[in-house]
Amino acid sequence: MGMVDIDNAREGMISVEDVLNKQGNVLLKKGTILTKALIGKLKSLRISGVCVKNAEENNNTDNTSPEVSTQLEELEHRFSDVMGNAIMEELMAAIKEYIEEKGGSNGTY
Amino acid sequence: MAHINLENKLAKIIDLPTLSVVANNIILITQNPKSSALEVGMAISQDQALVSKILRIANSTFYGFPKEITTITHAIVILGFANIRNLVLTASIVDMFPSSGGDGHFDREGFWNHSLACGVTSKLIAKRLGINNLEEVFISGLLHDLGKLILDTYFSEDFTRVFCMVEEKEILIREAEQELLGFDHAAVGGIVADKWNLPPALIKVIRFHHNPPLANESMRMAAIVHLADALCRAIGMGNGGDSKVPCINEDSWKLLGLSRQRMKRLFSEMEKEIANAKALLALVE
Repeated sequence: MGMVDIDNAREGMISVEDVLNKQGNVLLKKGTILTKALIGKLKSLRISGVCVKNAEENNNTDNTSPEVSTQLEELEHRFSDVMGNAIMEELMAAIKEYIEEKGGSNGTY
Repeated sequence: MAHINLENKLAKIIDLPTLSVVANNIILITQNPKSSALEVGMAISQDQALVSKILRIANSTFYGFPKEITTITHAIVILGFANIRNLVLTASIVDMFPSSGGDGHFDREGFWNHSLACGVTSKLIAKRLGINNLEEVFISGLLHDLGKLILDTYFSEDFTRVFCMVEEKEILIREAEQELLGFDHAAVGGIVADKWNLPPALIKVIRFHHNPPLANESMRMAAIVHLADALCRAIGMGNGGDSKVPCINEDSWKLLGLSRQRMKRLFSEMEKEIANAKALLALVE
């Protein structure tokens, strides 16, 4: 769980914490499934974000952490001269999947 | 540009590195199947620093023996001649070319990290292929780039030019060596390994790790190291001196024959085993 920016909030997400206004009144109860209307309402009330399940996956539009992006860029650079070779393309695809699945949890090879 | 004749150039270098007399003796004795553990032990005992290194390594978690090994003869019996020879070789070469050495153009620490990763990966591949002499495979991977250490130490001006070209043209180190010098680190490593009387299969791997089919009877071992080298570079383990991945030889790739899932499992094993092996290298230094 964690905070998701209101601009990245989507229908179907589930709030895991009450959303309060400055006066402490509950605007959205914990456990609510977000709808378009609710998100619009929160935006109009200038609420900056909502705590939802799996927020980390939702804050980046492409779901890729900066560490993973760097590793993928370096990978592409290393393979840039051997593209077109079927073996090397297969190897690169396997490493790419490996990096993505690992999610940049350990970049220190 | 006139290329440097490798044999002539090497011949002119009087102080071309030699293994210590003790290390040389141990390599020769352990290659003779008629030698006894006692003979090997006597040869090792000539160098007390080596004795303590071997005992330290034999008792490390890398081997994980349940009981403490307290005598060199016990270590020889437990580890076997091949392992002892490999430890002596590794210790001697790491002593000669420590990771903290070099003139700065060549990243020695990155070099040893890459070499270690290559040794570990070679061993993992060999294990998958059901090969028995895993320690021989490990040392082949560890020492496959010996020629780069020789170039860095004894041809440092030439090697600096190589690095400039690698950076400028973004090419493989081997391509820059061939263009500037007319030979590559594999050729240099092969000549020095031969001069040091290393086991014939190891000489072949060092010489032909970029072109395994030329290694004849040692082709399988050369193919394993060739693959391991490419995999480690591909995944970015250590630093071989350039930032690109060389093309993998097709026959060597077929030898590996892994599905994508299995390949990913291999990458994961590589990371785990390399972390263990780093502790071993620290003990050798």
